[in-house]
This record gives sequence, C-alpha cells and structure tokens, in this order.
Amino acid sequence: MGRGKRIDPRPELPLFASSGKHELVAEHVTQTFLDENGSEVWALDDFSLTVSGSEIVGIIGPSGCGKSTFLRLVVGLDEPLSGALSFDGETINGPSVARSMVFQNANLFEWLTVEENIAFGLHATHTYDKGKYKIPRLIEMMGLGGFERAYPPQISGGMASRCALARSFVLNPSLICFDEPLSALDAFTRAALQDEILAMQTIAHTSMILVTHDIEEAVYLCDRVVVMTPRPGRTKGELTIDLPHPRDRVSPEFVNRRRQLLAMLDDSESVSV
Amino acid sequence: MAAALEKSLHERQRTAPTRKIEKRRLVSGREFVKMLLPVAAICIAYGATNGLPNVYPVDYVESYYPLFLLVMLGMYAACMAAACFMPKLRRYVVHYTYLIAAVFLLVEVLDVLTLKTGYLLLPFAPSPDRILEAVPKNLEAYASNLAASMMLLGEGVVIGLVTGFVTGLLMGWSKIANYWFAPLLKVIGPVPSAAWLPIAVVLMPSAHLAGVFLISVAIWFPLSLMLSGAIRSTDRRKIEAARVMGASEPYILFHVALPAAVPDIFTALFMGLSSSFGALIISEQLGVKAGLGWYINWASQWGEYYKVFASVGIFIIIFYVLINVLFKIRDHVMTWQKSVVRW
Repeated sequence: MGRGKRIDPRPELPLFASSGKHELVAEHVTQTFLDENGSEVWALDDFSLTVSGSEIVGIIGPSGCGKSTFLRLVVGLDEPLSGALSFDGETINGPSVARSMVFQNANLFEWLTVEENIAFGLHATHTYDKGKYKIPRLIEMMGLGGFERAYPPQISGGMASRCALARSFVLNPSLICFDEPLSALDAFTRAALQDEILAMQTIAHTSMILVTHDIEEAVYLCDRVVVMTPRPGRTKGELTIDLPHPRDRVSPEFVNRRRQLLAMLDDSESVSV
Repeated sequence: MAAALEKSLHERQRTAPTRKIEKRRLVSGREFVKMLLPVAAICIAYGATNGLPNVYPVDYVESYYPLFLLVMLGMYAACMAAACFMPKLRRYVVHYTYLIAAVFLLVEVLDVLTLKTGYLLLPFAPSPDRILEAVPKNLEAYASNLAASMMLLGEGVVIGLVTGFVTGLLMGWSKIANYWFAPLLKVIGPVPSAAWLPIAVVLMPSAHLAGVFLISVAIWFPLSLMLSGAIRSTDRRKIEAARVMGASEPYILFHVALPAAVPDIFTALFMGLSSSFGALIISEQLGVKAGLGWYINWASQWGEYYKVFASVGIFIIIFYVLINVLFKIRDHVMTWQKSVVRW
C-alpha cells in the first residue's frame, strides 16, 4: 500500500484487528425526511453503492443531495424508506461498533478531556479494561501528546479533529463514515489531517466513506468518487482515481481528475435546472 | 537608512514583546496609606463609642461593641501586615479598603443614632452593642434554634434534590413521564410556599414535615424544570455520536445528556437554594415551633428587636456561606467550562 509513514509502534498488542475484508452493499435506497415545516423532503432516490475491502469511497454532490442522509443510513441512525443496506452480509438495523462515524466539527464531548473522549466508546461498550492500552498509543499516533488532560474548548480545531479520529478508531471499526470532517479547518491543517487519515487507514485496513464538498480532498484521498445529483440524490456518475499515494496535488493527472469531477458536477447541476 | 530600519525591525523581532506585569513583593507607600483607611475608621468608631456618653438609656454599660471593635482592629491589622508582603492578598485588601472602612463607619453611625443620642427609638432600633450581646447572652437558644433550622433546611434540600433529579431525568427522557409530571410541575411549582403552608400543615402529620415539604418543593420545582428541559434539548449530534460508539440509551442519559445539563442544573440549584431559604423562614414563622425563623417571630413579639437583628445577621452569614459553597462546587465540577463561560 505505502500510503502513509506512520507505523504501529507495538505490533504485539494489535491496535487494529480488521481483516480488511468487508463489504457494504446499499441497493436501491430511497429516503425522505421531514423538514422544520413538517413537509416531506425527498433526499435519496434509488441510490446504490458498494464499498468493499480497505477502499476509500468519496461522495460528492451539491448541498442537500442526501450525502449525509446516506451516511446516517449506513451507521444505522436512520432506517431507509425502501431499499436494502447490508454490511458483511447482515442487514443494517441500528448502530454497531463495526460502523463508525466522524462528524462535522469533531463533535467532541466538551465535559470530557481528550483522553476521556477517546475512551468514551470503550466505556460505552464496557470494553474499557480490555481496550484501554490503545488510548495512550492512539494519543501518540495522533500527535495529541501533552494534551491528554485538556478539554475540547482548550484545543485547536485540528487537534479536535485528530481526537475525533482517535475516538472512532479506538473501537476498531471495519467501516468509517466521514461527514465533512475537515470542512471547518484551515487549508494547512486540513492537508495534515488528510495525510493522517490515509496513514491510519493503511494500518487499520478500514473501509471509508468520505462525504465532502471539497473536490481536491476527494481526489487526494479516495480510490473512487461517486458524484450525486441534486435532491433527490441519485448516482450521477463515478470516477475511479487510480493514482498512487502520496498524491501530488499539482500533477497533471491530479488536476485532470479534479477537472473531470468538476465537469460531472456541473453537468448534474445543469440537469436539475 | 533602509538597512538601519531593517536592523531595528529585526532586533524588535528578536526581543519578543512582553507584557510588563509589575510584581512588587513589598507594599508601596500609596497602597499602605490606602490600607490604613479601615484602621482609621475603626479607631474613629472606637473613640466615638468610648468618648460619647450613653444617653439612651443613660445607665447602659457597653460590653461587647468596644471589644468587637478591638478584635476587628486586631484581625484587620494582622491581615494588613500579611498583605504588605503578599501581593495577591494585597490586591484584595486595597480593593476592598473603602468598603471595609465604610462598614465600620456605618455601624458607628447606628451607635450614635441609638445609644449616644436616642434619635432612633427602642425597642425597634437597638444599638450595635445590644445586637452583638444577643448571641453570647442567649447562646443556648441560638444554638438550638440554629440547629433546628439547619436540620429542617437539610432535610428539605436533600429530598428536593433527590425528587428533582428523579423527576427531571424521567421527564427529560421519557415522553410518558413528561405527559404526567409536566402539568403537575407547572401547576404546583410557581405557587409561593406561603400559599401552600396552611394546606401543608393540615395534610402533613407534623408541622416539621410540612416545612420539609415546602423547602423540598422550592428546590424540586426549578431543578426538575431546568433538568428536564436541558435533557430534552441535548445536542442531537452528541447523542448520535454516542449511539454510533455503541452507547445504550441509559448510558447516553447518564453520560451524555446529564453532563451536558450540568450548567443548567447549577442555575436551577442557585434559584432553588435561594427560594428554599424563603420557604425555610416562612414555614418556621408560620407553623414549625422551632428554628431561627420562629425565634425571630418570638423575639419580636416580646419586643426584643436586638435578638431579631442578631438572628437576621446569622441568616445572612449562613446563606452567604451556603451559596458560596455551591459556587465552589460548581467551579470544581465544571472545570471544563472555565474557558467557555464565566458568570
């Protein structure tokens, strides 16, 4: 793979035990939700997606095209109106530690320290004693050393995002959904976090679904990018990005992929008009 | 020219601008004079009370007030001496120096208006000396009544806390509990304790229990109202994050919704504690036959207003201490909020 530079410092106690052989299958998913006025909004229409192995799949599309709605279905926070979602052959009904999610703006618990935030999932699943050895190692890997006892309001946005990443990885998920996790960060921090995500993915062998507004981010991280139409969200097209990591953001191939994605997006918007 | 400018710029960068915080260990002359103000005030008060003749009543012999002034002078002098060498303490002393001086002067004004001139009439306006002697001369009465008051308050507060937390959590989490409890809360809660008292005395087996009931209602109402509201309005994204991390519903209630509600809980406790003091005094004055509230009533009926003033003074001290203990607990519990909220 060779995506990142970080190596698990103590391989005898595995931080990640994912086999790397997972499959998320979403078939003909349709979803509606009620907006504030109580009227029904058609968010997703006949959307299908398969994510397998340690693959990073990006989903991009205009605002309100149902990207986040789809992630909520994948992690089991909502149930689809019709269609079927399954993970490793089992129908998804409700959340599971195998499918994790990194939220927008980190979404940490501000009454817990960085360390306690990372430990939350272990406590919640009553596996703290078994898994607590991971906490200092994740803190070290994520570059949060020295901030274990800090509360979320005291740390920077980039650190909060790292903490949110560590918080999802501690439960050893097979699939992580990212809901615009880096959208609130400045360009430098975002670039650093993107490398961090790739590095973690390399050693954790998780599948990832990345919802983003940032085309460059999608091209930089993903193996495959799905472009969606405006509401209701349908698959508009798909682009495989077979560039080797680390990717050069200004190489002609990279820029070419960006241009292709932009063209697909523009096209989808003109359809909706 | 340009080179010189660049050089000076470079030098300025090298020595990073530091904020100059003056940290003098020793007191300055100006501060010392300022800190002497309360000493002067106490000396004026002492001189006036010893120098002026007692005229109302003429044969009155002062016992506690001059002694009190001397003790205060000694305590302040010790404090001031320490402040001369401790910059942190000195900041406080210098800041409050006018206030402390004014308090002693005001007390002396009361002394002059009552004992020294008879301008204010007895028994309604006792002299500082009478007020001060009330407690040591009736120590047993004050001790037993204070204990009774604190017992009553303690029982009421504990019951109010427990019921408030239980109904608040239930109402916040379960729609069914909210359906049944919310109307009860809205009907009973805003009614002042004074209105409840006669009914409570009739319904409860004893006046003491009626008092406990009133005090606990005073805590229960704001606590369950604010707690249930806070839990119902817990950030949905936080709950979902916990759910994704495998937390069960009860775990989310106690480890996400409840900690998120802590600021509101403390607001409710401040409100509840204040109104529970009111409930305590009302129930003691109107039903319970013990406690400082009852003692205030009893003393005023005998025309012994100096005992009333002394009792009110004790209430002031106790309520002040209790509220400040709560502030300290809040600061301790909400360390995480320190960088966010200050009030």
